[in-house]
Amino acid sequence: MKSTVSFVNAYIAFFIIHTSQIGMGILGFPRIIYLAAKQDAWVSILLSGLFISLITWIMIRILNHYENFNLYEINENVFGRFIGSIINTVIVIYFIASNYSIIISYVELSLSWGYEGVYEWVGVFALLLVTLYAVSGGFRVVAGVCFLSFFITVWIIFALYQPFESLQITRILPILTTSPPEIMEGVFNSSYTMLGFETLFFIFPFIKEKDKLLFISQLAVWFTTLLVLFTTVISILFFSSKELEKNIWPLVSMISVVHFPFLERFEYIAVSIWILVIFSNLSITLFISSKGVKHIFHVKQKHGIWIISIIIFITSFFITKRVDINLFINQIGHIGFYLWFVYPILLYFISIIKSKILSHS
Amino acid sequence: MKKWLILFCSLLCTACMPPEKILERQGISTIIGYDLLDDGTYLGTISLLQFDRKEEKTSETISAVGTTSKQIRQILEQKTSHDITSGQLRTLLFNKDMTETKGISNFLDTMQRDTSIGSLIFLAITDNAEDIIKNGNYEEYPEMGSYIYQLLDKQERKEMLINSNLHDFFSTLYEIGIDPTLPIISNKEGVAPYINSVALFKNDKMVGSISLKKTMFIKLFTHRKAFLGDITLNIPVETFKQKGVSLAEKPKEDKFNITIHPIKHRGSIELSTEDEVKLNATISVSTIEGQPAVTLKNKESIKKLEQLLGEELNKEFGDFLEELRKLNSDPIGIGRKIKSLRKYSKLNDKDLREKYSTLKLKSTIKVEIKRTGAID
Repeated sequence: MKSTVSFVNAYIAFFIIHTSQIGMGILGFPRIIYLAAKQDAWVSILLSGLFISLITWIMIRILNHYENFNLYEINENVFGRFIGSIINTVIVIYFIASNYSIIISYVELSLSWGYEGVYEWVGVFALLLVTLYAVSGGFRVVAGVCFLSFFITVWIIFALYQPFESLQITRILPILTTSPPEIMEGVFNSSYTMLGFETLFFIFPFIKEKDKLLFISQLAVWFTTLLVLFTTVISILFFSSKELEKNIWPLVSMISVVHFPFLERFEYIAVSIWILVIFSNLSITLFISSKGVKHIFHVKQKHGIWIISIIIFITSFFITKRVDINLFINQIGHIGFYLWFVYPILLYFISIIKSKILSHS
Repeated sequence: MKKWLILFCSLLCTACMPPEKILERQGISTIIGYDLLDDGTYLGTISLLQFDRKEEKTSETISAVGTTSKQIRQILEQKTSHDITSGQLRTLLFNKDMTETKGISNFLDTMQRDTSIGSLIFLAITDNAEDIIKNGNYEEYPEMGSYIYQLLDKQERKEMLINSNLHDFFSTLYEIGIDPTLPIISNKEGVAPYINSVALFKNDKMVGSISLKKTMFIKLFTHRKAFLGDITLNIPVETFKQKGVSLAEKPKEDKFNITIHPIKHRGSIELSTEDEVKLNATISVSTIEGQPAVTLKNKESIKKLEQLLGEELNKEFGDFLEELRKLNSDPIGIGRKIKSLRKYSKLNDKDLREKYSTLKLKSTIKVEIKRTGAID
């Protein structure tokens, strides 16, 4: 196999994993999880964080076993060229669909907050072009996008100090009254927001100090979990239950209480700035999917990028309604759950069994 | 290729704007009032700020009749050459009939749905919204909307009003076990509109009103950080004698009047037994006025005075609680507290109201005199 050049320092992996986890999902997340797990949503989030942390550990085990391989190569190695390619195709389609869901949901959000009347395709087109440009710069540019997007947007959390004044502690009480199945449903529904840690499977060959990666990736997923936990708890305390169930983007509605003497409607700024948050998501998903196309069909990655962008652009004309978008995102979340919560565990055991058999013979 | 991409991106990403908005063409609405008409339709009145320098008037008032608020808006658009925008909308007025008979949550649905309307706009109730908006007296402000906004904002920040913006209203309306309150604005000919009292709600319908002074008892339990407003008590001199508090000089009249300024407060609601709720509150105050002057040197007499003030307040509070219970309105959030207990967490709104009407309410208010100003 060809050797991949080590590109970036290990700490960059923190930004890549974290920023690809945080995206469109978190804006609507408090509502989605509240519908399932009510005021005990925080238990679901912690459980899901624990689960992800475990899977990240498994992922690192698999990756260390194969050293400089990414998941596409591992799949081929484990399952052979034919079955491996089928699985890789599914993964590529997943990433394209995920990229697509981020684009259409952001376009929908920005059309609801301020850009009403603009055609959807204009927004999709603009986002695709920027992403295309970033990804054609290669992995280092994508990593840079993640790094910058983290620092440009992380301060939005501090704007939440204003809603702090109208929190009602009684809204989260009594704790632990939701039944375990409902809490597990919350864990299941949280997958769309929490997904993104799977990027570790693909960025692994690019990291210089691989021994540090376990620590860094754990740090990233726990940071995301705590961030999601924080915003969800604040939303539950801030909104009354019926209100939370109604709002499509509770986080944006909550930010609409934020105002400064020089700026009255902060949510418009937040919605516009959110483009930077999703920019890193888009770049990384496009990068990974184009890498997969390159691997499966043996075309240049550059061509893969273009093909995927054109596919996304064309398909963006099909889903423009709120209900459809909702359904689509749910489906992505469910597929993502099986692909990234269940599949790595399977892969781990299969690879162990396979290496045992190989060492015996 | 790359250069073309950059150029294209920068063109596309900077010029993607909806049709431009020119200030002079905008009719910026600052206040909307809704009145219920006899035939079940609504009369909507708005005040528009205008920026055209040629015109002397700074505002214009127009009204229209319709069934939904957006229909009213559409008809209003027919009556003006300006684009009516609601980004600067600050206040919504509802007429009393409408709040009492129909409820206002239907009208508020659109305010929540419409992203151009912020969640910090104030809601208020009045006898006749059209008259208020058409009233020409609005102090030095350019038009009525700005005046009423300033009036409500000031009162909320430093006086006796409970938060009454759209978000607060919704979160109390939708929460099981607490009812919202809204200020009532009165209008008299020749003077600017003023805040008169506070409306009590049962769900989204107004059921009664209380004086501004009594909002203090609600804030005591719902808003830890809010300012309660100064409290004035008129205590008969005889009670002083019974309690053994000595006054510096003998009052000429038979009432002793004292005004205290709350510094900090803390209130707690506790379900002590199956059907008894304890409402405990502590207020630390500084005395700011006493008629006649009272000397607060002696520790004993301060303690007695504290007790006396607490009892007086408690008496008022007890009456207030009874009044609330008669209306079956719960702005203090006793129901919410009950619902937060594990045992009662499954109760719905109806059960809670039933429980509320049979509860025994025991209240105690403690007053602590912390400071006495520059003199004893």
